[in-house]
Amino acid sequence: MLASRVFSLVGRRSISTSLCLRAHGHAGVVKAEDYTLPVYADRRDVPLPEVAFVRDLSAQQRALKEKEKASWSALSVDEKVELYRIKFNETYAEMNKGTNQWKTVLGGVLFFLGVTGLILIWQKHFMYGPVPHTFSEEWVSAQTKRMLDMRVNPVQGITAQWDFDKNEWKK
Amino acid sequence: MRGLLARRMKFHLLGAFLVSVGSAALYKFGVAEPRKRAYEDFYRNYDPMKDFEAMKAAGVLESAPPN
Repeated sequence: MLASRVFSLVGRRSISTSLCLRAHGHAGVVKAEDYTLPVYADRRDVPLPEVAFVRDLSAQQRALKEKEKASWSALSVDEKVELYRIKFNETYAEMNKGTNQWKTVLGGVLFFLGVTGLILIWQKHFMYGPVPHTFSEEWVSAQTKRMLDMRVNPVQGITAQWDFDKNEWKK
Repeated sequence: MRGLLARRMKFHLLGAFLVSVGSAALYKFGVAEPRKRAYEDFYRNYDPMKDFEAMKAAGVLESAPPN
């Protein structure tokens, strides 16, 4: 039952209604949608884009294009620049120019790091309980003494920094 | 407009070579060689028995008490 209904849809060839209307209007030739045409893009690695930048020329620009068909030495500098601007949006210099965006990014990063720091301070003050007793001064010094007695890391580590003869840290 | 990729590639190939060789050399002479020398110096006149007696006297060995 459902399968036969699908077949009837296929029979009627249901496509998008707007395209259908346009197809009927132009005797079978569908107007190309904007998104199907080649686009202009300013890219460093594509020096000659597929289309010119200005698509619909004004009367003045069309006259200039006609003049371009003759000898180019007849063109003034301004006309050459105008022809360039018809074809391209930005020059390479304009395209490659840096922005000041990095300042915004850096500022934002530092700001949010600061906010995080404030949150951490609040947490330490209001939320966390006391630190374990093994962090007290006496415990840590007894712990370090035991490490030195055991000769922990004698080559480059903690025991290498202790002077056993003078019983103090090496200078 | 010519040789854009070639110029960029030359610059970056040279740079990559220098950076990698440089960082390897830096590590070798900043970390590896000093470490080797430290171990040499430590073990040149090392007496394990003396070390053992010191640890025993300090009382950190469970099976070898101080007295």
